[in-house]
Amino acid sequence: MEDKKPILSAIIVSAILTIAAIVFLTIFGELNPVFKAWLTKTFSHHWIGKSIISVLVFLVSSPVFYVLRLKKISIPALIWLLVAVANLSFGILLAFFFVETYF
Amino acid sequence: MTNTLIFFLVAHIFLGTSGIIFLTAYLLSIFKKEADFKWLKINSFLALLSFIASWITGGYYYTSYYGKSVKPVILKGEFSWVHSILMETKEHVFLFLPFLTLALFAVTYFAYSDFAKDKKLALSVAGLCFTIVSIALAIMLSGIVISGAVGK
Repeated sequence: MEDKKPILSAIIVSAILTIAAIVFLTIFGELNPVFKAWLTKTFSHHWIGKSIISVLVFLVSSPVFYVLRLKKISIPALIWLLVAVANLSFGILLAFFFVETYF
Repeated sequence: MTNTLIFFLVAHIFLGTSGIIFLTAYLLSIFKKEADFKWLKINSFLALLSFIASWITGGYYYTSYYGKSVKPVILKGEFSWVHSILMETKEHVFLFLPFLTLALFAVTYFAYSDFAKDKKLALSVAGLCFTIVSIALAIMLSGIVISGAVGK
């Protein structure tokens, strides 16, 4: 697997960055109506805008992380980091919309 | 609702459920004493395709119909929180699934030969698969609640 480690690391770290970007775009869009309106105006719908930007974040960051050769962190550690970020992000979004609804 | 929209909504549900089934099969087979790596690769690839297709079909329904026709009905009803909490969370958390599944497929494709000898790797991959299935199930259950909240 050693020869495949740079590409795997790049894909996993890019997935982590992309999920973080989705959370940022979502919360920033809710807190800043001007940004949400820009997403809607530019991409016809704010959700389409977030979808396209998330794909772009992944497509741009993957080659960057591949070139950076992230060899120091093991693949299992990166996978567990991805799991933690995904679960935490789910919790953050759920808590955010709960607070936005009731407070 | 037009026939095209019904088709896209049904396809979205069917494809999302298919993705869950493929990943459940993956999860059940990764801990077999003699795991069939060919099927791990096939299941993760089919799950990836299912979630991408569910993303597109659900996105079409959501952006062209839900916001104009379903959302206002839910918000006027007794269970407006179903949209403002569950739907808002579901529509954004769904975006995680293709990227998580792509990572799972990539690890399976490039490192499957290490699963048998590297237990830490196999366990982390199983943890990732379990997370994707859990998130997808939560999204599916939210969808059922959202459908039930229409007109209540």
